[in-house]
Amino acid sequence: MDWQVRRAHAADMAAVAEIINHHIATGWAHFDDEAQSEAEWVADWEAYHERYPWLVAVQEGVVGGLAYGKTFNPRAAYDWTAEVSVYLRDDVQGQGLGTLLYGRLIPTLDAQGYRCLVAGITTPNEASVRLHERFGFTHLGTLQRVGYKMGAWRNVGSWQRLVGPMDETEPAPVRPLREVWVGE
Amino acid sequence: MPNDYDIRLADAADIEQFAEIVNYYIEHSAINFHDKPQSDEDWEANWEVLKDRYPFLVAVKDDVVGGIAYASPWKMRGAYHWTCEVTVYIRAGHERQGLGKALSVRMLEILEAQGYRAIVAVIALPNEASVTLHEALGFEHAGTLKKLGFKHDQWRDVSFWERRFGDPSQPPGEVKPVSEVV
Repeated sequence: MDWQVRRAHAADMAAVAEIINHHIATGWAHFDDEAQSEAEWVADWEAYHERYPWLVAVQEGVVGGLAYGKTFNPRAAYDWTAEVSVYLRDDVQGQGLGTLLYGRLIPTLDAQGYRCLVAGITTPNEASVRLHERFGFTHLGTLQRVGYKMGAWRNVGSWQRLVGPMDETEPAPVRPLREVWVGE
Repeated sequence: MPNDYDIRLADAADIEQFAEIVNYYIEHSAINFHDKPQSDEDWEANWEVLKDRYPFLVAVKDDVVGGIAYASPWKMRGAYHWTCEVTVYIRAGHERQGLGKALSVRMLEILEAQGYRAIVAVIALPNEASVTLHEALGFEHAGTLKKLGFKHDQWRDVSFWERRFGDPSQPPGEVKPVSEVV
């Protein structure tokens, strides 16, 4: 398999919406109950892609998965914290695409100067938990029965990965993606 | 009510005191992670958008708001429809009179009657008073994210607390507007 990871373009968002909408319609990894439009994804991509990596895995022009960072919380003290997400198309699960995407996403966020990465995972989701723990995330807690989807109450765990010395010196401002990204 | 404070839904005139109460903590503490004060207009806009579905409560004596409590959506995605976040602030100088407890007890009564099923509180640490209050209200500690924010020269941990209502074997119903239960 010859998957390439590159920065996402606006033109990828139709394929991204299709991948996400499949998860929305068929499972509880994503808590939305209504399909999202390509336009919503283009708007999110516009808002975030210069400050966070938005990456796709592509093979022969087909998008197999998306990994991206976004704002965890807009309050200023959270400026060095990013929330990360990864979604794969159903028919490419189990091929290492998550690892491939995170292998680029996480070092890029580190290089930008983010100090804390957070992932929320609706549990159970063994594949996602394993992926995050492989990249140094640890489980910090779970909100029990915090969402209801597809006929059952669902738990959401928080995983966190810290980078850097975490001493009491003011962290440097986070750098825009273009200053650290090498490649397509 | 503690010391003759009246606990009631906020009206438009009360909202003017919200910014003042919260801005004190933005400036002088790390319990709120904002770095700039919020305006009256910010609070009026929040209140206007949320008030029909989420209670905004005040503890008032002699026209002075001594404390506020409000609820807000936890997250926007559909499966979180029955989940909300609660926040309480006591005006500087009005602490230790039981206002936080009185506001929160009333808040939880209303939220339960509305049909919310999971109530989340987010507490930046250390904050002994808030942790003690939420434990007394039956919130369970759902985890602490370490060094999640940086304010006033220190990395700050943020803890998450949860209180649930209803029978977990039962699906949720409609969430009622505040006006139907108060």
